[in-house]
Amino acid sequence: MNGNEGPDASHQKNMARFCSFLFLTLCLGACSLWPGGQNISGQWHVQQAPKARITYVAIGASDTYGTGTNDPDEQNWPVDMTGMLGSGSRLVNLGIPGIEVHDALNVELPVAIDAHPDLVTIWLAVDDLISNVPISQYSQDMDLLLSRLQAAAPHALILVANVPNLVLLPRFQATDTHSLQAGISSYNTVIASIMERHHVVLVDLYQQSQVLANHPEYISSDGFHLNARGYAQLAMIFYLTLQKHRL
Amino acid sequence: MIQFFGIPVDTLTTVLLVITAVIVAGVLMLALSNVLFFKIGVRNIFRRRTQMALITFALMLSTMLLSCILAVGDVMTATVQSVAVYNWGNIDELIEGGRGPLGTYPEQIYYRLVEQSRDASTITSVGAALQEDNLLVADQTSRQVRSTVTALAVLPDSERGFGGMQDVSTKQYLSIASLQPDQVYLNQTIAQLLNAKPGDVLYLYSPRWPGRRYTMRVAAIIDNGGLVGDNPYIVSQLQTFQGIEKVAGQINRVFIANRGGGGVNGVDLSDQVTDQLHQWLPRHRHIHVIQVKAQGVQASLKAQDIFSRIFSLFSLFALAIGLLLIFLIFVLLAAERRGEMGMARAIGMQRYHLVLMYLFEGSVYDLFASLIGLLFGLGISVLLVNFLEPILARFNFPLKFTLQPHSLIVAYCLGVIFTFCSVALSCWLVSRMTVVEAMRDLPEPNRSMRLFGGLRRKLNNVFAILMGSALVAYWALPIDVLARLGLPHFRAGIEVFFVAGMMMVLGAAWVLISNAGLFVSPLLALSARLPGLFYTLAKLASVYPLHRRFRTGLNLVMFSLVVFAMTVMSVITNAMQNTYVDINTQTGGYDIQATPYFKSLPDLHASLAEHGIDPNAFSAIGMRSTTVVGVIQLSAPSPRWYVYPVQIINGGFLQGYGLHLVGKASGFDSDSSIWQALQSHPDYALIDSSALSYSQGATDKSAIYDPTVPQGSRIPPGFDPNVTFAMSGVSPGEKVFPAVPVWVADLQGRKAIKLTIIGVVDNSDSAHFGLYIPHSRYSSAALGAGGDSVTAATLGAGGDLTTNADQSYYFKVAPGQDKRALALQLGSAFLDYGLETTVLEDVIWQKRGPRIFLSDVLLGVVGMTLLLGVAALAVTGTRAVIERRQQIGMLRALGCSRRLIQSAFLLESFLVGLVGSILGMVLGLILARNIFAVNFFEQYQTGLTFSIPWQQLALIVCVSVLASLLGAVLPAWQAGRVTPIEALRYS
Repeated sequence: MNGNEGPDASHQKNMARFCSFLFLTLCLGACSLWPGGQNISGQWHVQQAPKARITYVAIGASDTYGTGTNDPDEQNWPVDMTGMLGSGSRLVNLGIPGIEVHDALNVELPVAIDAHPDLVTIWLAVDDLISNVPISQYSQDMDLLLSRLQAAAPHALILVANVPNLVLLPRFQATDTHSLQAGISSYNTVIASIMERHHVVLVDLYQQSQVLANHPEYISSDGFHLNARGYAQLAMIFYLTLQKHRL
Repeated sequence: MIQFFGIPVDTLTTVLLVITAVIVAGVLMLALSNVLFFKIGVRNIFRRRTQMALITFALMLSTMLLSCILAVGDVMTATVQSVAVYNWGNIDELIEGGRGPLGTYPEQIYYRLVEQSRDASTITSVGAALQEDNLLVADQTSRQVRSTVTALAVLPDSERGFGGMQDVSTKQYLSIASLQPDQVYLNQTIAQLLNAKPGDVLYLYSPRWPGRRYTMRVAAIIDNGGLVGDNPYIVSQLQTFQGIEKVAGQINRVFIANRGGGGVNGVDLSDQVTDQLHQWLPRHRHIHVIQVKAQGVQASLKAQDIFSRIFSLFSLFALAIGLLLIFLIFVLLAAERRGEMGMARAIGMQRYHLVLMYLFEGSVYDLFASLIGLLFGLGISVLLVNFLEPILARFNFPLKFTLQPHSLIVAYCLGVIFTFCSVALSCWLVSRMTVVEAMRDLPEPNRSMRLFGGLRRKLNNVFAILMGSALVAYWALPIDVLARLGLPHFRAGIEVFFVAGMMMVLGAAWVLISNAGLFVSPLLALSARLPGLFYTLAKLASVYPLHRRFRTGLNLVMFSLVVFAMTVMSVITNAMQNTYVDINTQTGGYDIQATPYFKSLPDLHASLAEHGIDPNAFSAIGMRSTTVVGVIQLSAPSPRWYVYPVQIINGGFLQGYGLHLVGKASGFDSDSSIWQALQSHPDYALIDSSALSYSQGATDKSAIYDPTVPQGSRIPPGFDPNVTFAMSGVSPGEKVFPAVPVWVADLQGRKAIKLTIIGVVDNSDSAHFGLYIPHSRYSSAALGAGGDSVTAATLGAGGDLTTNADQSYYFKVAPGQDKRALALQLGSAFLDYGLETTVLEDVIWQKRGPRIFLSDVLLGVVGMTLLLGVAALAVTGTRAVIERRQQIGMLRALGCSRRLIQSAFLLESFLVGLVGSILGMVLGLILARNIFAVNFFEQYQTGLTFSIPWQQLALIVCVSVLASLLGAVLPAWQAGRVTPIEALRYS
């Protein structure tokens, strides 16, 4: 009963070491499965946005949001445009249905600045026009929006779209087209002058409006917004304009 | 029980009955054709009475465990089903539809149905009423207000076929016909909530009659049940509400009672009755039949989903313990008889004869012990139900002990079948013996060992280590980790955790037993350095486990399995108790909720005193306003605006009352640091746990496949899932996460503000949806009122959302104060504001009563399994000593003292018990952790969180080791007293 000596004992010792190692490994493995304890270091971690080659921010209203399609999350023109920008592009879609420039100044602009954009598209005119926002008010708000955006994101490339020819849309065909046409002209004139003043790129949707007349299938069932196919075309217009002016 | 391990009980019962009958018939036939061996086999029972008692006791334990589990399952199912249909009283089907906002149709339809159903054997009663929901009732006499009350205007005499309406005080049956046009009955629920009494004056308000109110007088308080369940109901004459709603001759409810007498008894006839009713109903009226009871039963199956799954897991463990005990007992018995069998073979018996003898003996034990165990199991279940009755009484629910005959048969048959199989297998194993070696009780020589000697042994050891470790490692890894590593994994229900547990226990026991020498060597080395007889004692205690590895392995597995099962059960029940039974956690410390329906309350602290209520009666008061905001998370993969409810909080809420945190941003080491941060940094916010879940098209993220998981309950009520905010980057169940910045914009406002989410609020009860923002931030004009250009509806949130803040006040009552009395005082003081007060504890009991009950049932099951498991361990310990009397005699003859032998036996039992217990606990914790790690419970939105109940675990290990020691003490003491000659003669 004095224990074994010799080769058997040596073998048992080696095996004991091996088993100890194995047990330790298993224990460590089990420990690694354990939930992490609470951080008591006081270190502050804030969730960061994923890194992207181009951060693209879309400021806009219902069209930017994707109203008129079956899946506004995925079927909107900024998503299509992001696809055209290539891999590594990241979209921040700030479109809110019904928003006007005055509200966008306080609701969308701060978020846009916080996103540190490389590219910004702004399409905010149609709701103001329909709501009969005075042109002077619109001009002032749009001017302010661009000033603040350029001050906060000086390196961002900014594209601003004007008002397309709404008269061609089914929803407005029963309204006073003359006064609507006049309103569109006024808005577009103001937009053009602001763009010139701020040296930003104008996306002339009015010039491209004939496409709507030629392709009624691009318009959604509400007779006002575009559908998925229409938004794809719209994205192409924005993208071609960007290509044309890209430095 | 409806199913047992996924197999319908009906099918299982038939199969088990057939197998049992075949076994019994087979044994009988064998006994008749081998009477001599039957006699020899049965003679053993009476020859060794201690053994017989132990075996019978062990078998009883197993069957007891099985019958207990099945009986408890029956109680659970019956409870949940009854709770689900209780609210429908005696109504089995409901006919509704119709036209207009109330969905009305002519009374003639009812009269026609009465005529047509007169001869129908499946229908006992038909009733009619006009029901109006969502009333606000103010009791002018008691000065209390209650919202969401239902008015049931009943056609006179309709109530008779549905159990009538019984006065709660006089117990007399009342009739609808005796009610005056301005009189109503109140059911018990609303009467309690309003503190109403007969004669009280009520004012009725409804959003359907803006600017109008109707005055009624309480005629009597009636029992819940019949046509009204346990929701708040007022009952009037049909004409009363036809007049109020100006729908003369119209009704919107026809009630049907099936033959069977209430409860779930008539559910089986529902399809037949529905078909019949569809033939009788006019098609052009857009009315349809709803099988309310049948749907309730279906819903109950979902309601008990998580509990039945947990219960299944517990049952599987209990079953495994029970069956392993049977196997262990018979393996030990067969091993003990090896010498005797060798002798029998030496005098000419065939192996077949040995098996027969053993089989006859086992069958006798089996048939009788299983029956006794069954009866004991039922007795324990009855005790359990009686023990849990007070819980049911808390939510006014009557429950009787119900047991399906199927369950009895299944429990008995399973016991019989498994015992038979164990007997046959163990006997067959032992009967394969070398006669000489068996007579000398030496191990069977391994011929292959002789050929290759030590090399083969080493290879076997290494193989056992590799395979056992691989088995443990594979099953110890969470299933989602296996999936990530690309390893094959099982997709199944909760049963996969049982398999994982068994595999881990078996794998670990394999490693330990195959290399027991290595694990024992440190003990021997240590004891060699100690003075006295420690080394001898350690050597003696380790000789048998090293020599009889299979038997020791079985003991070890038994210990591990019991402690393992208890560990898993403890962790789960601990989580359930914390979540469901701890009322204080659920109310967040508040006692009373108060909601003003007419106008906002003035400054509370000042006005409380004005109304004669001492403000010091409350130790905390919090306010919560609800509205809807737009939210965008820039760190999300595809940021865009979504909508979400926001809770603007102040007062007690910012001191930690009312909200239970389940996650904290890194850097905050305690809940109190979160509350302090919210008070001092108005830019901080909290969000509810549902916002972390699998919405916005995400599918089931759990690695555990479960097709019946309820979906869609994680969205705030009235919200469109497509536009509802869900927070990215933080998983459900994650306790520490990086703080999440979000931008928030009032849907009516003009300015977005940036908030940082630093905590996650538990929303497992679906009553805490929202982004929680300190009131100071909300009122600082950042989210101020503005135009109406952006509304919830524009983002598709649905038209029923309101953008007006919806206020509620919460009170924590100071120690020594009566919360119910204070709730009544508050309601009375602010009656003009339409203040509805609710005692939160009562609501939680009402809403979660069944869950609390089921949690306690599971806790009872755990306790019961522990008791039976411990008894099983004690039996195992006793058997381990009893079978070795011959060795004891040998040791005594060699000069070992009684004390040394007794100590050696106790040390051996202690070592096996300790190693088995620690192994079981460690593996159990790993498995329990895995169950939580794969978010199994999160699928059901249970809100259960993983925490280790160390005290309970320590108790389990101590009790288990103690049980094995106690089991060994008496036989060890007796063994020590045996004289060497007597012991050597023993067989």
